Amino acid sequence: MRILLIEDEPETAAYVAAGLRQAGHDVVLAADGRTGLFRATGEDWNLLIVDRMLPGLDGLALVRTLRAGGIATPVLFLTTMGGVGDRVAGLRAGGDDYLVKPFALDELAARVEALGRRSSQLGPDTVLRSADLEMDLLARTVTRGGRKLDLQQQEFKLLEYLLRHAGQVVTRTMLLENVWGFHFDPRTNVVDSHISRLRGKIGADLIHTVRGAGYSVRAPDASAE
Amino acid sequence: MRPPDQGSPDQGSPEARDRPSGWLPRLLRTSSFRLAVLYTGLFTTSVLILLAMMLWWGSTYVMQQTDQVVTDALGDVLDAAAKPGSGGLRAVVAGLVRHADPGSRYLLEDASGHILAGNMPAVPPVSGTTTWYPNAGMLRFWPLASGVRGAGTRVANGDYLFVGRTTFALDEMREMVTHAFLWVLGATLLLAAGGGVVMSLGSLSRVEAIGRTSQEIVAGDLSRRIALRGTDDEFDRLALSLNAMLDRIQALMEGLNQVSSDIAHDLRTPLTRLRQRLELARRTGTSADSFRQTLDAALLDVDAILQTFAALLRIAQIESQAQTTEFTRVDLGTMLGDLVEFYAPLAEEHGHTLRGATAPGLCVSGDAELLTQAFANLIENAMRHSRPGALRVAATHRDAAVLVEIADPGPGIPAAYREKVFQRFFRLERSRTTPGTGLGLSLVAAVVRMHRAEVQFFGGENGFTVRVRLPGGDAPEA
Repeated sequence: MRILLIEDEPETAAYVAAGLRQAGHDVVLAADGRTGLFRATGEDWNLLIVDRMLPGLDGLALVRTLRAGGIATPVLFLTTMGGVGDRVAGLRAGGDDYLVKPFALDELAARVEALGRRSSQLGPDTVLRSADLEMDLLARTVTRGGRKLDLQQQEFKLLEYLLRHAGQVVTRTMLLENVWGFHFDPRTNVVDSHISRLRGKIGADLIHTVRGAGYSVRAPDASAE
Repeated sequence: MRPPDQGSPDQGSPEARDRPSGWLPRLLRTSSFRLAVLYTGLFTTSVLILLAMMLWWGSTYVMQQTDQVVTDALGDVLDAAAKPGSGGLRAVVAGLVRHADPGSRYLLEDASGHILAGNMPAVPPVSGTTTWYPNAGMLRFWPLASGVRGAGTRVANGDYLFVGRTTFALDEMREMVTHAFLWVLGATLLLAAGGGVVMSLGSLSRVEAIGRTSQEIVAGDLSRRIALRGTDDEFDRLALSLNAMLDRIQALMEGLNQVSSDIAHDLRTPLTRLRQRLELARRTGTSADSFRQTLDAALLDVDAILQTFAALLRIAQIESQAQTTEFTRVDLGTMLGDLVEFYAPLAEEHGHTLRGATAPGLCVSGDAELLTQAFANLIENAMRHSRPGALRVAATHRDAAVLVEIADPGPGIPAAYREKVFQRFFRLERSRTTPGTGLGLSLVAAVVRMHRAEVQFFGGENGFTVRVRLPGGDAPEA
């Protein structure tokens, strides 16, 4: 993925760039808002990672300008502010996701993956599949090997999100935000509890735990290596 | 930073600023003294106006009486002269003059103005009542001037008869009234000035007491309070609200001190552990694998510390944005239902059964995200700190408030600690071994305060309930 990182703090920039390059991405750095805007409009990118506090032109204004110019490249905001209003302001300005510093590289990588994939997806699917598991979004049914599974509503939503991001790592925070709409960090392993329930219903071989990062849906044979 | 209590020399010591520059000038500058002076001035003016009006009206009255008297007397003289054997008008007037009392004046003059009889100078012949001012030239239009008031008429032979009375009685009355008023005025001025001084001294002493106490507080003694007199006057009420403000400031300061020492204390422990871990790995680590393990563990330690900081920051943010956040309508019923559903699997793992007794549509005005987090914290607390059993989340609308209750099987929070649990980093002895930052309830407290709500605890060992009372709100329509 070709990623433009607009971040003025050299240490954070180096940290983020190194982490994303290691994950196989092509990262270009812009150290201030004006340069960032110039490069973001002048070239093609899969993803923009924008710090909210930038010299020259702040992150919010930058993204607003981009969106006003019709550029729809996905934007991930980085920020040291974690207030409720800040996140809402970021999303309202045209950001697609929001990550509060300090964050783990695994979390960043997972979100980058999810955003990049989203930009390449065309139209919503009506049937999601992994191995012999099939989810029909219109009929709201799930079958495994042809056998119908009985899922509760939140289990359905959880599985749907995991299947939409099959092959990617999905962090607990991403699940909390996107499945339940919670923007806080529970002090308990409540997400794990939901995953283990879901595994109990659909079989333990589809949802894999990625140590230190989160979960990933992969077909059993693909993970056998 | 400047050391306290060592005011720089250019600023002047507090004593120097405090020393009175003579009590009199300060007394004269007090607002109550100025008020007293103002009122004295107003009173004096009104007394003077009253005096003038009384003199005017009194004089007019006396004048009318006099007019009546002299008109009657003129008639009497004419009647007496008309009686047979009276000797004519000239003899009657001459007789009256001989026996006249000191205030009476008679005059009979012929057509050419020669006095035929009488005890006053000649005057121009004017019919009807009039006043003559023998000694008063310019003052004639001033009704209070001293003169002779009388009635005159021309008699048949062309002579002119005038009967009058001096305004002596009027002058007497005027003098008396004026004297009385001057005395009153003098006494009033004395009383007003004296009262003003006494009043000013009283308020000055109260204000100075407050000032002195403030100086002591500024000098560093935050425990000082302004003394009350128990009179419930405006100074007492001012002192009460100032004292309440001081209580709050002191509590905040102490809280601040407490928090910073708690932070230092609580972060030292994981940092120490981290350091030991790293040091040990450096000494004894042999393989890349063992180093990696140490790094993983170290990262977990650091994450825990960062999490604590994030929680502290969040609480601070909530407390500082309390005034500025815009509230929206939050459906508590739906939110609590979602939370119950969210936590039910985990509760089951811990041996609890989590049930909700909430209905959608129970709304309050608030910050949805923060309320969700606060109730999540309370549910998590119930799950982690109670015996396995039934957990119940209920919401009702009662007495113009929404009551949210989270009940668990106990043992709950001992009565002695129910205030303390809201302090940052406070943890009950028995829960120190379980994971947690000791900030969960602090966040709840901050959110609750932001919503002007309150938290109450009920029960204990055999069943414990946390109740959050949110003012306002409305129940779902039945």
